[in-house]
Amino acid sequence: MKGAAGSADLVPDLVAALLEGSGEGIVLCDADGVVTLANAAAARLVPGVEPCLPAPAPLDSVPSAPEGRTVIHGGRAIRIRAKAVSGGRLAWYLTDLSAARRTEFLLEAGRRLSASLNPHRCARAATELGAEFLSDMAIVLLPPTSRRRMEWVRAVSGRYGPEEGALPAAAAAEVPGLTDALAGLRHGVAGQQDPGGAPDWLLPEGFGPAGHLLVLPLPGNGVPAGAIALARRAGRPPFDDDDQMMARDLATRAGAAISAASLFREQSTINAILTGDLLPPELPEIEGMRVAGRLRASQQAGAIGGDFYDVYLPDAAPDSGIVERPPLVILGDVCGKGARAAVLAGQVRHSLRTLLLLESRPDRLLELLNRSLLASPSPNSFVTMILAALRTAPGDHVLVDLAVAGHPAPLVLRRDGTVEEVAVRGSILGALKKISLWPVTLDLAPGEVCLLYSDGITEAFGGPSGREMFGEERLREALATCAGMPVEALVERLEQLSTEWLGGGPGGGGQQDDRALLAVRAGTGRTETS
Amino acid sequence: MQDTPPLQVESLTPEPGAARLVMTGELDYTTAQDASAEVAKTLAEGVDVLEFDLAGLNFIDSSGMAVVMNAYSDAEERGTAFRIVALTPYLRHLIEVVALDDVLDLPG
Amino acid sequence: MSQDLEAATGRYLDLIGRADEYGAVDLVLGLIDEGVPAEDVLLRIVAPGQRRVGELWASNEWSVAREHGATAVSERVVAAVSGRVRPTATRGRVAVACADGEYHALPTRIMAEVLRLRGWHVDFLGASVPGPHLITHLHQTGPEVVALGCTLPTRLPRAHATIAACQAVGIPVLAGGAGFGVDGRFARLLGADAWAPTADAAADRLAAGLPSFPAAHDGHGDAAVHFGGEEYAYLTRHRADLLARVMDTLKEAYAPMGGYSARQLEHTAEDLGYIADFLIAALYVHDAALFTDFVTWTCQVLAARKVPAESVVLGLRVFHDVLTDCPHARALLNEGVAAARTCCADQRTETSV
Repeated sequence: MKGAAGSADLVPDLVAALLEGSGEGIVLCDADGVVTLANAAAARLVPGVEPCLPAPAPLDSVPSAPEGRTVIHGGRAIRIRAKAVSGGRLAWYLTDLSAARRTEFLLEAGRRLSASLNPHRCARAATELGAEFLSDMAIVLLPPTSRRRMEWVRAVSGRYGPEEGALPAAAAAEVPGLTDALAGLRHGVAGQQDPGGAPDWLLPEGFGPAGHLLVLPLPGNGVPAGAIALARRAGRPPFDDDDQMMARDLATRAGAAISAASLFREQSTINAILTGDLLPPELPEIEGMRVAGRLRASQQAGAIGGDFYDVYLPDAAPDSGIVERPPLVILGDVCGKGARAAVLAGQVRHSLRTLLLLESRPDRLLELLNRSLLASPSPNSFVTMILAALRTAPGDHVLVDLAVAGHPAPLVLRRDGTVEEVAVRGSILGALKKISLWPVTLDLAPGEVCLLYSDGITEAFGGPSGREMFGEERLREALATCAGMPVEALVERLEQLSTEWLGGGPGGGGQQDDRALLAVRAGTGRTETS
Repeated sequence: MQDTPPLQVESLTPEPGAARLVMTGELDYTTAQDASAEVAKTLAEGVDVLEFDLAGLNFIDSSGMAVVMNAYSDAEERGTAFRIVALTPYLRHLIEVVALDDVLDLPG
Repeated sequence: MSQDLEAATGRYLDLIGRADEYGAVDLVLGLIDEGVPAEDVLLRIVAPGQRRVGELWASNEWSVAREHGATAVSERVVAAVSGRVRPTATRGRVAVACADGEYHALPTRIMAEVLRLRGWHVDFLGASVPGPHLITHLHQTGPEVVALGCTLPTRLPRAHATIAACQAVGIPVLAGGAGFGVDGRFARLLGADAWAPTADAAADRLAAGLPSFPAAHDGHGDAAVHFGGEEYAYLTRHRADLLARVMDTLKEAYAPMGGYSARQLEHTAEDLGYIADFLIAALYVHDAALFTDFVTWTCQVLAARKVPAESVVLGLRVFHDVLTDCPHARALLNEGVAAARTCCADQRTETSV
């Protein structure tokens, strides 16, 4: 306890201990400018301040402003404030602005780098932190991709928004130390490099020559996550020990964030490919009719259910051996949830695509699918579905050949606004060796609609009481109010009604199962409106 | 909030050689595995008749239906008779939708 | 030109009112071919036409089915415009989404198209985007900003959760749509980084630049608002029970309800549900005007259907009497009753004149 110990007779022990523990530097001088007391923080910030000696610079001239002044002393920014105390003595208070800045940096780095799971956003945050706290320019280079290009993100202090771009990976060799940094190796003393050797592309236009350059690897999960380069303009102070420590800290945190984000991206890509088999296709234009569909997946993560629909247009170039057939739409529901359901739905859709090259009768297709599901080694390969082959007929009519396997029967909206349930049923697929099917053919006059739906629509629990099922009756009533609507509006309205039934208020949002709707309307809309 | 488990399965012996599983609560994605395990255990005991009492189910989804269908086919494979002795109107409706009412032995 | 556009807006309304998709698409693409900027077509024909559709429904001149048909046609028109005019993206990436539970997608869709026309790389995620879907998308694509649309203030609690979630993953949020208040006060309250009243204002605001990282909300400062509170939580949790109690009380208080069909009862329950939802939203943001504006609007909509504003007064009073332990909700309901009474007085003046 330098200084304070010598004045122990003047200050009670407790006060001495308090002063010693302060993070702010405190110095007391007598009327002649000789130090009588200096605590540990003061001794650290201004080496050479000692009791019985005259106060050294910068404590030798009293600042005029009451809030003090900021000086650079020994490589640190220090705010110095003086206050007259009794007997002509002077108290000095010293605040280490570098430390405050470091704390602020740590807080900001934690907040910004932990937020995103997107590699680019993380790289962006790292450059902004670098340009805000450490340098005039910060650039992050991500590891080269397979196409031999590396992406970069660059931020400049005081300029809005980082810039992004890509470069040939070979360009890394032009920046001293960068090739090593991208390989995870730090090069030179603490990563300091000769700024004169930097190529033009490293610095933004109009930046001016760099005076100091720091190039550091971004450590990742065993493999480097990229590199960061920090530059200060010529004439600015060099990166001191504290700066270098902060730069290393930034590189470590940015590397961890970018590599975690890259891992997430890889896994979510795999997930997206898997569940992609449940995504509805873009519905094509089919001559003589309009088709619209809606699919809404369950909100619970990992519980994406197995509703799906698809459209199979006839083979564009009918070749020998490929059967001729009309367009086919299907809507189905596989048992279970998540990736397993997605895989099963994918199998069903692809099996059907193959079977359609050789078979066109909906009931035969379902029998074949049933056999292939029974042979499937995975458990619970149960599927319910509707097949609807769509044939145009004279007078803008559409004939729908329907086969249903264990699925709720479609509804039909007639021209006069009445709604019928189609008398068609059949066994679920994947459960029985011999399935029973009762297919029918439906005749739709222009403007009439055939609606296929999944049980998620009718089995939505909610309503004013929160406990009631939406039910088939409500669905029929809702469909009856849709007479004359374009088919897109119709499916949207039905989906909305079912969701609002689930809704249960502004904060709520009841348990949501998957819901799928697919509607076919005879005629193209132009003829029957006039 | 919930004191009772979502699905309870009770095993009864209505007559020698027969086993009746009484299911109460929710038979769905989250409980189907427990129910299947109970069915497998009962069939492994080598009963002649497997009965389901499903009147106490207040919810069933496609995974729950899978339990019923697997029980039917596993029993058939072993030569065990399978029947449903009690069920809710909603469940009967579901069985009709998947067109298993012709195949399954349902109460009249 | 401006007169031409006005005439075109009239023709457009006529076409969508007949659900004439081809006619509407031809009209709009024809204007674009004549050199009318696509943005003008969207903002001066489609958007005003769609606002008019809402008014026509409110005044009972158009049925729900006709309104839906017209909206569906406008959706197709916007899609056709985006197919015809495809500028290359010169600016950054923006994710545009409707708040969870928000089904009025068209205004937000128009905003997405205007941003695309101004050179942004836009991902339009559609109506009612659940929070987890949006956040997953943000992690996957890393846009510079999320533009969040909300037309109905009843979606504010969920919009608030979405705003906070976007900001937590480091992406600033631009809020837009009538749901955030005509003056954007709810956007500010819920901590959105920016607000814009219209699609072109949103584009201007984005061009001016948003902070690349949202500001920290510490939630402990003097300005911190305590969202919701006990009554909000109570009503949200017990909404269904509350509505059941209100229905029962209303049946006793209002004899004609005894003769209602099941369907009429369901419609009544639905209307009472809206009252509950607006009450809950007003409690969430502590804003009485949110509730009284809704009451006034409801009175006007009902008046157009020959239902007197007295029925609204009756409904609000039943809520008031049932919610014995909710002083804030009761205060809001009293203000609602006052607003409905004003409507009653207006209606009497109208009928006597």
